[in-house]
Amino acid sequence: MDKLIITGGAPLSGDVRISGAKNAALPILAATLLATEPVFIGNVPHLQDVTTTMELLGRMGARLVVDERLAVEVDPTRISDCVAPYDLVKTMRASILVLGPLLARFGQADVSLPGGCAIGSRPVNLHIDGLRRMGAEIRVENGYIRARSKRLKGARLVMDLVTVTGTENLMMAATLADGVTVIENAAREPEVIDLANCLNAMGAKVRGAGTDTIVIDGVERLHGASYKVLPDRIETGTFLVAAAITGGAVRVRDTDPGLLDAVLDKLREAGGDIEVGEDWISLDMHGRRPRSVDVHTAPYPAFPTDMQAQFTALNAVAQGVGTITENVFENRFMHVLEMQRMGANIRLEGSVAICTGVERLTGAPVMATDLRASASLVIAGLVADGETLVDRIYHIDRGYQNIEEKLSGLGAHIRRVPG
Amino acid sequence: MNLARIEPAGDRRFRVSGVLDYGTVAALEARGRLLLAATADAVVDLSGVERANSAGLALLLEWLDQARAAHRRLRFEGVPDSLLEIAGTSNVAALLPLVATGEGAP
Repeated sequence: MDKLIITGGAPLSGDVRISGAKNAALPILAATLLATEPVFIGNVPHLQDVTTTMELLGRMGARLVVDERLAVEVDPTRISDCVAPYDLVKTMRASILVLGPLLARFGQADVSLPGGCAIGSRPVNLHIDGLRRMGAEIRVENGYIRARSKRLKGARLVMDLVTVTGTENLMMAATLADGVTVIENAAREPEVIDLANCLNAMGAKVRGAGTDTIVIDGVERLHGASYKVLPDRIETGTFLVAAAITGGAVRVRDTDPGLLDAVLDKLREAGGDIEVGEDWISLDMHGRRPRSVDVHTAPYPAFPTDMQAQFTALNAVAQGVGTITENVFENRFMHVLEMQRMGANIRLEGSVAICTGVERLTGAPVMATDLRASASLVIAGLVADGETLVDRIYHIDRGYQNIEEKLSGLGAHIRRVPG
Repeated sequence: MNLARIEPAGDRRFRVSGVLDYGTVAALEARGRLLLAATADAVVDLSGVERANSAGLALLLEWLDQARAAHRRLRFEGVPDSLLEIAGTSNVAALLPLVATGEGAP
């Protein structure tokens, strides 16, 4: 397994390009199953989960072409096998996103249950319940969700919990349903809006995405389209935190400043001098040490849980005491134990991490436990004395495209070594 | 319509030029299969490729598969960066035997 070795101390400076959002690209790739013509998707990030999704679609019979700009064309006209097998689903929970499209378009879907997850339970029962309310017959047996249906029927779906993938799965299924579907207590994340925009470009009639009530008028068929995935707001925030923690000055480009107001507010509170343009954000710490901030995670548009670990790293070296309250996932503080090994003064009390900033961290061998925890350890390594070796970086490769190249371009001393 | 061709280019060398996409690779594969079958240690020069998508990558992997099945050696040089990037994204970059920079070929 590859490792990252970071030598801390260099303030980051310069420009970095932000990739397309994985959490938008994956549902959009799944949505291509709904079309009767090829769909072209641009700004697709080059990540393992995207490759896995392409393999999943390819095994079903979709024809995929990656062009020289790495845009992806999916031709779903020859789908012959409506199965998402365990060997792929176990590596990527987002595989569940093919359930709704397969059922709506082909009347059948056999999708492996995803199994456990390192950062807490993310049950798929809301997906299943919603599809049942739309008329699907669903059995869960032998580790698989086996769904069958004639044309799905529009229904009123009230989500017990706010779930992004649940909202996306049901929204996709509803596009081809007979009648009107209303999803209440829907997720409001920008990636949900992006999926809705893509579906509408394919001829769907989706209204209200970005609010907690989404209304979908079912149509007979969806056609082909060209669509560009929105920028990754979490990658954007991660690089801005990396700049802040090192006292640096960085401009992130090809991003959307409107997607991360809550994060930018916290970075300003931490002392960052922030400017925004149409598709860029700059942060300049003027060489100063950041101030501690208090963070409470919650569904969009509040502070994202996917930025929590990075701000834990920031608080670990900031002036003062800051608290990180995780309200979305259980068991999402594994990075704290690793940061403590680097000299961080962090106390855990249930879902709250109380961070008393220290002047410097010290490099240490640390182990990544999930995607964002990995990023936070890399960020911590940027301000640690000596070398930090981050192991199990396959997690980070799932969500950050060429992170070591991008950080190196900003002046970080980071290199990948084969395991 | 896009065009692509493969031609002999000297001692055990072959040169591919044009556009490698769904419209061109089927014919190119057949022609390449015939040319490469008679060469034990061939190098395919791709520096003349104007554009290539993942169909082009599939073509290279197919020629490699044929070479391995026949216990022949096949290497590539001048592979466009875009094709290498597609190979990386597809997790197959390590499968492509490249002529090292400065290495005399074949």
